[in-house]
Amino acid sequence: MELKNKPDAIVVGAGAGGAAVAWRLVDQGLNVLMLEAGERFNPSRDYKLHQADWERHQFPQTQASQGAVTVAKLDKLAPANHDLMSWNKSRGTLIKDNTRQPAGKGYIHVQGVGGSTLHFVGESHRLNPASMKLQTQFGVGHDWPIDYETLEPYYIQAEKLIGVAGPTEQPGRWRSEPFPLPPHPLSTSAQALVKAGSELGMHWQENSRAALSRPYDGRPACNYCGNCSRGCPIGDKGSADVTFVRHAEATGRLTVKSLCSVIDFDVAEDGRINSLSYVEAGEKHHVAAPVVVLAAGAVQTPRLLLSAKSHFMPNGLANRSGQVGKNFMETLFWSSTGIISEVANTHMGLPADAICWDFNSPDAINGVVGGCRFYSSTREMGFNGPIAYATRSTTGFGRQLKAQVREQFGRAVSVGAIAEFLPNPQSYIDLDETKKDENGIAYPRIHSHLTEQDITRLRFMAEQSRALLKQANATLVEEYGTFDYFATTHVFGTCKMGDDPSDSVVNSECQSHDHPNLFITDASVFPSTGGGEAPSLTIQALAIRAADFIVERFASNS
Amino acid sequence: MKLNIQRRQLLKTVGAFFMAYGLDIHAENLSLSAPSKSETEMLSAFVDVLIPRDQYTGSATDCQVDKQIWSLAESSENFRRLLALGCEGLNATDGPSFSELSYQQQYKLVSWMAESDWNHVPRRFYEIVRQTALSLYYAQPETWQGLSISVPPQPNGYPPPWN
Repeated sequence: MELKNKPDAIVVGAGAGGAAVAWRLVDQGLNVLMLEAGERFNPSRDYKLHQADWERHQFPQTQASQGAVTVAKLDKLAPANHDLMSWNKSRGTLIKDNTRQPAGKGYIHVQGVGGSTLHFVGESHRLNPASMKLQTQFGVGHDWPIDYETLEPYYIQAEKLIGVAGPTEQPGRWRSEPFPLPPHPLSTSAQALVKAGSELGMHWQENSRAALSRPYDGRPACNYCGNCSRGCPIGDKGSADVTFVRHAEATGRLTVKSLCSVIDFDVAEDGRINSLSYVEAGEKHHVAAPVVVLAAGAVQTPRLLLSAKSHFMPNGLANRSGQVGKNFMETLFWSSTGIISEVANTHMGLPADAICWDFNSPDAINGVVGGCRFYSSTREMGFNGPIAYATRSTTGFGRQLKAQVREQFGRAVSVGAIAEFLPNPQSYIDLDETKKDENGIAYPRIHSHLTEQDITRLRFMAEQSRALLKQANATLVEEYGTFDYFATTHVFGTCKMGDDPSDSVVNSECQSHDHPNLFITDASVFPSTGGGEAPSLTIQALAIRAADFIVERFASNS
Repeated sequence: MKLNIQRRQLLKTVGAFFMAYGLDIHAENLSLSAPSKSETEMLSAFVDVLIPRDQYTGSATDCQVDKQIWSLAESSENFRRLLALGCEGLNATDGPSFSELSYQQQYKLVSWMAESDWNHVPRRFYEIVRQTALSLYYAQPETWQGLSISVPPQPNGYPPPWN
């Protein structure tokens, strides 16, 4: 694909942050070149939900859809914490030795046009404002250099473009305008959690979702097949490809080049990025633009920066602070699933349709700083079809196994929980020089460590989830968590935002402290994770805000 | 090549087993050879004990699960070897082969395998073949009889109400 115009900006990565910054830039008249290492999926061809064997297919995995990554040796599992081991009724304890293990590659993501929004369930959350000032208010972690009020107008813009469906109010987060669309109806599994929760004094409500509850912006309403994570074939889910990228391409000013891997940067003496190099189909190309935006996620973005070492930049690009790769924060997750004989059809409806924010504030859990949220997770956990029941919630074999599947199907109810993760010195990204990709770039290596505080949060989530399911008269059949599995969908912090150039990588506008025309618009800039909020909406709000800054400062010069 | 994630998990699990069990996965006799008549009879009988016919739906072999398992083994030496070891184990007695035993005798033997040591071939063969067979079996709509699902989730979805 030839470029129609000389780009005013190059955006690396087509996920939540790359798509949003590109949309905003082209919307204001700039020409943007977007380079994406993954491919462009064709939903009607690549997603398998219409096939008889649909349940055997997760989101399609191809060589290009997975970024190179290694995981360093993980923690030993202390016997005192074995109540947090993952298990199911069919297989018992899932990890048979005493070491934490990565689930698959450990970093669960998608490379492609749309990035990980292609397989996310599409929760659309604003951060709890209190989670943005952890250092000031609680003496832990890091503060954001901006506050909720600064982000609020950009949240509104992102929600409108996506068509977020949500309730009138959410605790802890004021809104200047209502959600664009009304909330989705609650599934039978969510209703069971709402009822049991109210009996325990918990307050559950409809979740805010990047899925259409009404036709909107030329996209159809959700038909509640329950399988967002396998890829939405009808386009109601607000993944970045059908929202930001679609609108940006419609302007004629965005050029998207997929299957292009950025490998190097040319830096001028004054610190500006002159150009970058990328490989497409085995051939190396160079491209220059006044502005470069990195949005490859909190694992691949630090990899690119750390790899770009030179005589003048021995620590890599944008890394005079030494903070690139540090402060890695991951997903702290728990889910309990039970069978409730009184409910039916729990495979139907929107995943993550109900949420409880009661414990979301940083001081909500006794004995530890950092909150969490609970949500309805039956369909996200994959209890969508008979294979899940047959292989996870049944025992034995023979006719009695088949009878169990018939008795249980449609009656699984899962409660999930995600919590704050505070940075610790043993959690970071570096380069694994022993493994290099086809372009000679070292793999990023994830170091992950759970502190006692993380264990405390996990135990709180597990005990509350069990209490909730017990109240709902459920028989537990599976529990899964990140105590024994390293399984992170949300990654944060590896290019931290801050006012102090000696202690952060970018400023409050997502601009590199070291390179004035280099910006980063993914969750690597997050100083804190929030109390379990899904990050995509905040990434997009930050990216839109960064684009406005870029237009104001750079477009006039060019 | 797009690889089914469940097949990835299967291959990883089988590989981990051979590593843990100290078996040489690169041994010369490891080939992707077609199964022998004895092996096909053994596996067919085994999967039909796991998933027998009942009043609602057919057995594993009625749904070609055994053939699909052999098809999967064509591209994985580890899985092929596990099947070979498992079938060999099922046939290791001096008496009749597993496929010639009565259903009650077969059931008793599989029950023993299901309770045996996790790190030995009988249990690992039972677990991996069970997991694989169930995934292949319930991927076929004719096995959904009696469940509140009759067609794939798309293109119709599940419009409410759901109660």
